[in-house]
Amino acid sequence: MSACPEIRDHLLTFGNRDAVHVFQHVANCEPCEGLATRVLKLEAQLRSLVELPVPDGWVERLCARRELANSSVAAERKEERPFGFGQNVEHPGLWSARGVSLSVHAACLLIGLALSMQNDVGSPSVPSPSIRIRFYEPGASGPGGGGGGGGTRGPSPAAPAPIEQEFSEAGSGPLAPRAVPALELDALSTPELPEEVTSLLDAPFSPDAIQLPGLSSDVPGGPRADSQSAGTGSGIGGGDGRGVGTGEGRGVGPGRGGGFGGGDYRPGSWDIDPVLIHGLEPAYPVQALERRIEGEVLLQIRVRVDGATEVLRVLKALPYCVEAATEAATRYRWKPALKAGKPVEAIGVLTVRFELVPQR
Amino acid sequence: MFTIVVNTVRSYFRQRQRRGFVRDAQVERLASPDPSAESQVEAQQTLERLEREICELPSTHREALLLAVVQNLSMHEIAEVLEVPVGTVKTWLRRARARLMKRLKEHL
Repeated sequence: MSACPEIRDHLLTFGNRDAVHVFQHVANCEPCEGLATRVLKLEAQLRSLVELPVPDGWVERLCARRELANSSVAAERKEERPFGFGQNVEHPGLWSARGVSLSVHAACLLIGLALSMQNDVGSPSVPSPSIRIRFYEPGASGPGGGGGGGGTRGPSPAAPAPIEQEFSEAGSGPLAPRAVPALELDALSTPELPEEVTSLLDAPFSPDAIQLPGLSSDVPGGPRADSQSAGTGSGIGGGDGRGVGTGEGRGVGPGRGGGFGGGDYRPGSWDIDPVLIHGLEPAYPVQALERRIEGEVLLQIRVRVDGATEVLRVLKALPYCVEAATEAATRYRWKPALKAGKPVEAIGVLTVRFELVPQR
Repeated sequence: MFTIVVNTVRSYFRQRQRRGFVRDAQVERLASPDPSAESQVEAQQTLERLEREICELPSTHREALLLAVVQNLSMHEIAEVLEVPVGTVKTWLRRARARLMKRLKEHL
């Protein structure tokens, strides 16, 4: 078993284990301890060997020479100072030395500038991701809340007419606004309904006796294929598609089973898109750089009324890049979306493109 | 700057290489507390071998080693004397000691 490379280098370079970390390591590492013992033994032999009589005055000359060098350096520094301030102008070669120095410095400066410009023009050393933001159509109705529950269990009707309104986003993209037929819930007010409806839970009910204005079986989005209401009754689910959170179900008519209400909260429509006030591109993650990972991260974001960004979900991920994109997105600040002059929340998709060689 | 010093070191090693002497004092210092004849002979052999190996080191390595061990100069001072970067001095010292340890494996 060999000694640890770092400790080995230190021991061989300095010939001791005086450094704290080396001392502590050697005390706990057997191979390093063995190496340290041998190094110290060699060092002892070297020191013993060189204590042999050296040439007469060798050490003294060495020390004197070092002292002389130190003092001469100090003297040179003292003498150099007046030159810098334009004194001793009679010194021979001063102006030529200055000219050479000036030329060299200017050349270095020019080379540095040229290199920096070349770096700017060429491919960047560290690519930075590009940002693209897309909000959903302003002015369009936003997807509404979830639909309401179906009807309650009741006597089996002769002609079941399940009517459910679905406000889910399935099949129309994650957030595509969907035209929702306005359900005139107000028209369903109890005064126009037979009294049997009001006592729905208590008495048997005959659907033929009900004439519901504004409701028919050909309502778009009628019976949902995946509805769990396998019943034979009729249920009417009503959802509010104008930014109300969970739908409130109102069941009318007999039937078995019920629909499921509720859905994700969606903000309503807005007239003017949010405007980005402050935001920086995320740094290209080192792991992605090392593995040369390119691609897009799609984030669904909500711009709140106060201008802050909230990442709702990750629509498209990229290894090692999601965290950087999310972190950058949450730092964005916006001028919120406006509807009728008032700030409202808005939802959009933030696309962060990670490219090693950005397209120009 | 330290041309004279470096030349002195070089000449010192040249002389040592020619003479190849080991004094009894060093043998006694390296020998075990029991000054038996056998241990003295062994210590003398070790020193002779060590001296030979030092003389076979590259001159740069030798100079750096001598300045570090004899003069107790710091890395920076050695670098200044030999007019090389500090990293070079460290490399020379590390290689010099590594080579000596490898050659003198049986004596360490």
